[in-house]
Amino acid sequence: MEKNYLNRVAWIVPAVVLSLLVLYWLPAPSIGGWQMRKIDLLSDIRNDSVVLASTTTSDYSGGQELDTLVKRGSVDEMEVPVLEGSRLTRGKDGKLVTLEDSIIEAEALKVEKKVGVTSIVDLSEGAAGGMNSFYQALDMAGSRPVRIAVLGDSFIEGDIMTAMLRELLQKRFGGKGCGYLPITSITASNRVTVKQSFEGWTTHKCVDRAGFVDTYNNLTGYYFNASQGAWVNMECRGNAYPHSASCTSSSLYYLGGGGTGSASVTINGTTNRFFTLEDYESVGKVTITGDITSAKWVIDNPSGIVFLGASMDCDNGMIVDNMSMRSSSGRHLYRINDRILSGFNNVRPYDLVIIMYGLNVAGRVASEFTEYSRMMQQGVENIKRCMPGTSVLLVSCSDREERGSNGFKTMKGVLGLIQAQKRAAINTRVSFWNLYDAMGGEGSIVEMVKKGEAARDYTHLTGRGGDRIARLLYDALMLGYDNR
Amino acid sequence: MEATWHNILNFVNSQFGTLDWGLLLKQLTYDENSPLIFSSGMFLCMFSVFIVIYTLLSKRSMLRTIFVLAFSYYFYYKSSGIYFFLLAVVTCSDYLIADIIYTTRSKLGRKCLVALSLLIDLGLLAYFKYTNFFGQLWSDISGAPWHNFEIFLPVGISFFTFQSLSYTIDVYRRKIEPVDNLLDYAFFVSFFPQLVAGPIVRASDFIPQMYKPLRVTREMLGLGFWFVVIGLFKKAVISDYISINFVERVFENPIQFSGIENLLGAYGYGLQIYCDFSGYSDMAIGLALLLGFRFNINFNNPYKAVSVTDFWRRWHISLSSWLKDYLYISLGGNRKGKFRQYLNLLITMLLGGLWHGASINFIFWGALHGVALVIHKMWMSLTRGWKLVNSKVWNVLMVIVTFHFVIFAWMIFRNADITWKGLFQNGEWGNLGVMLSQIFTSFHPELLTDVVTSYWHVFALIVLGYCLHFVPDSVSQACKRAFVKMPAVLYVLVLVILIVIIMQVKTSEIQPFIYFQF
Repeated sequence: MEKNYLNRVAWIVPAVVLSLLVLYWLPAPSIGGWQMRKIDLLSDIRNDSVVLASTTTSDYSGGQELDTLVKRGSVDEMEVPVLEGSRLTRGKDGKLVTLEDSIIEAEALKVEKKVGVTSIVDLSEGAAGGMNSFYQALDMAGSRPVRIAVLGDSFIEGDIMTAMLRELLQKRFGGKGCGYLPITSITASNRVTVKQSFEGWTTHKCVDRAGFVDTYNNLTGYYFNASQGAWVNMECRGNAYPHSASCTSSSLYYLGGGGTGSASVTINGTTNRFFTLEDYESVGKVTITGDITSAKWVIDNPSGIVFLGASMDCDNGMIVDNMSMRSSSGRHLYRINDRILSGFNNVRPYDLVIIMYGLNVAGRVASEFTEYSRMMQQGVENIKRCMPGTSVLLVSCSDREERGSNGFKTMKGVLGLIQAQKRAAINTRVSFWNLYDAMGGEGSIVEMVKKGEAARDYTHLTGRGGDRIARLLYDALMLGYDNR
Repeated sequence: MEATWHNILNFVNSQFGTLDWGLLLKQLTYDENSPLIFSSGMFLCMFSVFIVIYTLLSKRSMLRTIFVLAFSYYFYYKSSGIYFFLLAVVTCSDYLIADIIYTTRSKLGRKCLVALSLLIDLGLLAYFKYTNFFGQLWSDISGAPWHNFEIFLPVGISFFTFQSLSYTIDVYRRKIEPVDNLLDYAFFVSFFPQLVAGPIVRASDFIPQMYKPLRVTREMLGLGFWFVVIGLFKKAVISDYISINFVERVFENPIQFSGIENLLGAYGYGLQIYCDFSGYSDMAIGLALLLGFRFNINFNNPYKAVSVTDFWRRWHISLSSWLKDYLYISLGGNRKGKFRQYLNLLITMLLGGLWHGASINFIFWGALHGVALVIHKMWMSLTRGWKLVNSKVWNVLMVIVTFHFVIFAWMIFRNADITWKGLFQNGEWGNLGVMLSQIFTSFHPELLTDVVTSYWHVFALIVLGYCLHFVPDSVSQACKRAFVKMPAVLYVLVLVILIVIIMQVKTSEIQPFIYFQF
């Protein structure tokens, strides 16, 4: 009878385990510039999260320039990256905090709190750009449209987040329709609030490597050239968000300076109307009203006109515009054209502009954040100047994580970027909302991935995740409004 | 004594740095999010202790049975907590029912008894897996309100209920005799290698092995490690890496990717699901061999199939043969005319689809395969005697066609966001619709080089995976034989190297998200 080899199994398996345990003590080699990870069979039961001590007892007394601290090496003990030129002070609990954090924290103490809600911090001290004018506008939502523009990147692409924010606001303050849309969109088929189709357009985006003319740069970062007969069709969809099921007006937006053109619109597949596209000095708009479920705009004579977008709106109540641009960092706001921005605000006045960028910058090195902060500040200043009286809310970057040898961790860049965003809000005296904190901070995107609320790149949201973030933002806005 | 213990702990602590004994305790108790999977370090450590004790008990079969049983129940507890009692319920009821069936003479009595076994096993399966699904479906169709119950889905319930059913039905069909005692039956139902993810082992294959003396031959030793190594590589290297770094993100948000990326994502998913599932089966087969048990193979290079029929002889063989023997044949198989045969095929595949998960996309997936099987059967009878269909070129062509059909079906399989309401009221195909529209209307072939070079790790693995899959059988058999003949100490080396690689993959940085659609 053949020998029984069970004994072999009983030494081979433990030998494998022992060899792997021994490997833990060997240094991990690097092969051709690639650093191997440490072999740690017991990583599941190892707890080596380094405690970031706040035990700097040096002669430091706050207010020192960062450079000095870097030389002493004490900045390593900070829990957050520090921007170039930032100052460090001691927080209430004796911990070192950046100047940005301490200002935001101090302002946050002044506003009303509610469990589960991350408050909006208003840094305007009542001046223009703060939240007050938006909250006052909300009181008038019964008699006029109250508009919000949400500027962002792929995080909110396809009406993610904004669809639910709009729905919640329209539920409370009234209003219909999905708001403003750039004429073409790569996510047109995927938007749950509107079915958009189009033909005959040339699309220009501010993130294009070539072909984008700064003269036409506007709030969305998109502009379009039409061929004769070019059309865009928008059908309301209310399955998921019932308030988007219909609207009461539809408009077409274009830039002046291209001569006089003409367009026609078909409403609900039947009613036709013709418009002359007059040559305005800055931004022109033509509007049709009625009980609208679909609107198809056709450009009969494009002349040389540059088009901006179309909208599905309401006469009163809330209008929330999703102005997202994939892979954008918001840089186009920095070099926006003043004439177009104020012209646009004249024909489509906004009560609140929400700025939420960052994911496309978070991968960068910390030294670039200071520059990013400066650029954002200029962008916010441009908005404040061209859209006087409009509230501006700067939203921090969301949690984005990367995987290291001990599982997922928030990208270091995210924390540095949030410092830059805080600085921009402080310096421009607008409002700031910390989305990273609201989501749950470190590890929150990992949790969201588990719940199907975020994609497996540990960066982007799913529709459900967007809804969750929208509720968080809505709660923050309503907390501010109810305690205005 | 206490001081010595303290010293030992201190020594271990200093050697291992930062081991957290609280975490160890947590690892050992039930955690929904960390089941004991074969490719984890935790399992390896536990198995090494297990195998030593198992070997020490090799001559004491009663004690060994109790020990393995206890370990299997613990293994199940780790992933499903208190629900291990379900295992006990299924075990006891089927054991008793089979015993009574065996001694019952009346035909009707036997029928009633086997029906009772079906009722209990499928009832449990239906309650835990399908209650909310059917409730929701009914509500979507009728408009009546439905609130989902909070029902926990016990891991592997679809596997062990089917496995246990094979026993009662085989006793009913007088193919096998009942086991001697409850303990032996419990051992069969809960044997941990195949407990949570198959293969579905038949009582008629397994139980006779239990009554033979425990013996691991040299060939079983080599084959056991071979299957473990192959399985680990498929599951923990190929599948895990390509899924997190490319495939999953395409399927989760296809609109953010061009058509070419969606197509590559679909090809990637074909490899991912094969490597994930068959890799896990391989490990189960390997572990069982190392413990002295032979299971049948569960996957046989399924993408080499020349037809859908052939595919189902190669894919998840233990399920497809189970469905054939216990469902298709019970429905009448091919004994009641062509029409009934086609209908039986369709019903079998539809239910087979539903077995994979409580969601409408699985039903579509099953139905699509069912229709394809029927069409293939018709095609077969139509082309009987044609020379063309036996040529080599034709076969290659058919492999390509079958592969693409299967990949398309996987796209349905993977997109669980298709709902009855969405589909029949709004005509929405969810992400499946988006993927297809991206592939057919926004393909962007010019991005191919960009995509492949940016994700080159992923595509290198995908190409490697498919190449290994399509290697001629003679080559893979030769490799297998060479591995089996290797000295045992080399098994240690191969395993250590493989695990080092797996750890590199497991902790590697996630490939950043890249947009190509500028």
